[in-house]
Amino acid sequence: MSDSFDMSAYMDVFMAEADEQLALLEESLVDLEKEATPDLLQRLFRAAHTLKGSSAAMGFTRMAELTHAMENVLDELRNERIGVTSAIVDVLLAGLDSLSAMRRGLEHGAEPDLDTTALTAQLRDITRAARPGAGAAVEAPPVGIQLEAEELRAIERARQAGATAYEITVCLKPGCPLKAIRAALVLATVRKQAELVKVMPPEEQIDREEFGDDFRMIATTTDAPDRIVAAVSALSEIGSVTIQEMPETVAAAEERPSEAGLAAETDLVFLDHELDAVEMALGQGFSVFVVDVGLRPGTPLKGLRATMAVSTAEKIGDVIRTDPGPDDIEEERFGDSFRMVLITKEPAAAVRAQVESLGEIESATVTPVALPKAEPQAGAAPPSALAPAAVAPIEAPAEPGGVRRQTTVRVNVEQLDNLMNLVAELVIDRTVLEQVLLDLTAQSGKQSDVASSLEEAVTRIGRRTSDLQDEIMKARMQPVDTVFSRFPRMLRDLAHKAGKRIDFQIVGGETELDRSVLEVIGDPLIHMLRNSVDHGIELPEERKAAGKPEVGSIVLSARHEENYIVIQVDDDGRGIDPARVRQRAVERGLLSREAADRMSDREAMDLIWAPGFSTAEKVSDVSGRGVGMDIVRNNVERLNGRIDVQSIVGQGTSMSVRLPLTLAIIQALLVRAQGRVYALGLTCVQETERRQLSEIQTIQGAETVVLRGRVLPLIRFDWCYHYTRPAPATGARNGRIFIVVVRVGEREAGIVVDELIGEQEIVIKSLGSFIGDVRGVSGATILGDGTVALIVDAAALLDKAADERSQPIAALEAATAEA
Amino acid sequence: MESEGDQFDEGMMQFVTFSLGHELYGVPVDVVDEVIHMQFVADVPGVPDYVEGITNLRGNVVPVVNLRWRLGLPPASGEGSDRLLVVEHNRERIGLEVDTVREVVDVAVTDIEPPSPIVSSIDSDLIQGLAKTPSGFVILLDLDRTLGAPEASGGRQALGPGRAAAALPPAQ
Repeated sequence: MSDSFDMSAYMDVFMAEADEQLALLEESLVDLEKEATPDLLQRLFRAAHTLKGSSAAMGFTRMAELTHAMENVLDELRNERIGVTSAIVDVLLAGLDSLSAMRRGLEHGAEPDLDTTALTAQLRDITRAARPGAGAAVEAPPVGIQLEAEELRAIERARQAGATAYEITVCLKPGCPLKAIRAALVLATVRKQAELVKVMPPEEQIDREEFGDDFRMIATTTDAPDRIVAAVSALSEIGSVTIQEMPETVAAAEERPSEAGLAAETDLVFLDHELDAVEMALGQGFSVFVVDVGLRPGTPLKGLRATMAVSTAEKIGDVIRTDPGPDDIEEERFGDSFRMVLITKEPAAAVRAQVESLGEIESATVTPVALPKAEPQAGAAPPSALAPAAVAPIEAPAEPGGVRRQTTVRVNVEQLDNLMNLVAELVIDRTVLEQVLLDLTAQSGKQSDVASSLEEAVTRIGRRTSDLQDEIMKARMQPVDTVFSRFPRMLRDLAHKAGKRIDFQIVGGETELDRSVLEVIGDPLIHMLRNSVDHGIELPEERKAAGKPEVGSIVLSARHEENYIVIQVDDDGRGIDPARVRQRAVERGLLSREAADRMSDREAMDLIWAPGFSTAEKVSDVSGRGVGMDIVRNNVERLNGRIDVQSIVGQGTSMSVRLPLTLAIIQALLVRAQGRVYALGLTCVQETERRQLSEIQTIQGAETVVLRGRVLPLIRFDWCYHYTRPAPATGARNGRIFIVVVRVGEREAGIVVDELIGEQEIVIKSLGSFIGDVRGVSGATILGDGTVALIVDAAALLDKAADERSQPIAALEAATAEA
Repeated sequence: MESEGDQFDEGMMQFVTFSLGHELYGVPVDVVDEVIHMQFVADVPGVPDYVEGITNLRGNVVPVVNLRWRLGLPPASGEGSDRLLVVEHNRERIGLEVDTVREVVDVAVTDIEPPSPIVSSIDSDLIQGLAKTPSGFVILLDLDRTLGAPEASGGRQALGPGRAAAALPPAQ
């Protein structure tokens, strides 16, 4: 496949659109099995149709062919020529998988060489089965054949001359080389015996090989149809040829008198996508109007008047087209009248009143548009161009959310990231300003005019920066559905494989959170859901025996709680049985039988987080790697999040993940220890305590402090972090220390620091690939004074501390002596 | 080294020279982003010993490599490191701590000799060649090797080996 011009400019747009449509397909296909509503089928068809169009436009023929085949099947389902079965959904899902694989392959530039012939054949078989009457190789038309007035007249003329009109479908052998030449030969052959009225796709497209394996022609001839078939079939690489007589009704459509004095409108030919929009709108109970707006002749600023009329119409619906185009209207390149096509829920009278209420508008003629009735038999009656009908469509109750107004623009993700970075810099600068102000007031005192006006300015800038930050954060927000949407499919497959029956529901899919978080929550959630399917939900017999409904329930929900998002997986399965957890931990060699028996139930439950506890026995093809719950917890905690489990034996388990809305900026506590400044995410900081060094007690060799009756193990940065350079300063003055109590999951410890600097919003920066990942450090941040501080990965520190319960007492004594 | 290859064809190359102690070193001019004054560097645990830490370069976190340590040179006497030579390496900016930055010199390719262990006191693996210039010999650094995968020269264990090892009392 060689592109004659550079498509890369459109690639991003295409990819984004493909992702959207694929996600939509995936989500809807799984729903399809549950309940096949016309609405859903319409949505599916639309998604496949869009994807087919855009992939063909990009020259990704395989993708286009496959979506075309899927679209055809969906079309049959939509028109109820076949019913939805599990088998069909399976084939469609397989098609979707191939499409997703191709989409992923596109990241590397070219369309991947994926063999889809078998799949396409399967899809075609389904379509074929749907229409036994039609010729074996006839495919459903991708869109109804539209004949323009000109073409209809040609047919009519030929008919009057005694010829017959035929629709000829030629299917080339799949994958045959030089398709364009084969097709050109076919056209030439047909032309010898007949008049070609129309070729679909148009010949220019055929020349560029922009078609699948088949194309169609409308031809008139006095010859016998068999002879055409024979002549075409004699050419090489021809898969099949079918010929069908065009019914008389086609011509009749053109003959239909144009009523209500709207002769001019018959030449209103909709473009493909407009037709789609009109079809969809009418199907969903919207009205489509052609609005002819007449301006008072000679009115000044008519471009502005006309634009206002269009925007007024946009307030009550969707303007899908204007004649002339919006640019021409704005630049006054039209006479005294223009036309727009409006999709709306409002009645015609209201539309008219709205438009006519504007200044300098002389008249607004509102004409409803109706679709000609489509014949159920393919090829029987290709719908002609849409014509406004005299009778207004019945005002069906409008469905909410059917047609949306264009109030959004696509923004490159990179641009959003850049914006976010800029705001982050601004946050740093603001901190610098605050520092300057502090220094200034320290020097010149509060009374200074300069200081007070600077203070005002700093406050204002601070507020603006916060607002700006909020707004950009909002712009980066995406609904969790973008991640959730792949789960129904996954759950379906997992349940099938495990022989379980599961009703999976998503609640709060519209909850929004930052892209940075969205990108990383997928994996932990997959494991939580897998866990529910594998270990939570029982087999149907087991459930029945326990008096539960055979179909288990898993609910995935998302909601906001202050500045956090809480994502929760609830199942009504068997729950986590502490006895079984003990058993398994012993089997896995995590602890001795005696130790396990000594544990309380609550402690036993915590064993599920132990490394090596839940390593999957079977490596699943969903995650691909047997990742334990310990890794899941670590990943969540690394994101400054928290994971919690509640379970009742026999009733179910609820696992929840609490994450900050963004990962780019966090609230942190800045501390100083041995002259180094560290930032601790506030999410893990429980409290701070001022103590004396002498209050530290050693228990079994570990430093501890008693906090409200509890014994708290202590951590010191200089013990945990392995620095190559000596510390810039020694420890605490006068034996005074601060203890920052940190808690991650169930683990808690006190970090010994020399000074609390304060709370501050910090921007997380990566250490870069040269430094790479540093255990115990989650990044760096730039402080108000321009220096850099490390951001502490509290989870890793607590791990470290837990490993070191028994450290030599000598070291401890040495450390205490230091103070 | 393909890019250098092209330059060889043209006959002349440009290097930024800097001093470390008494010796002059050079890196190709096109990898150098800027030269700034030495500033605050926060140390990072668990990195190879020649990585001094990280610093703030106009809002970006940039690693700083102490070239003396990297090349096995004795610590600076007196004033010592004064400048950060910011180079771009593998699409990342890295600060090289040097004594002073001297000049940009044009060197004829024919004046570049292969590294010789006799001429320089540093590991010849890190040297690309020796250039004869009016101001004397310039040791041309092989940045790929000098800044090569830090993993090669030490573990990535940021968290120390344990309290016993890490908490040795400071000499008093």
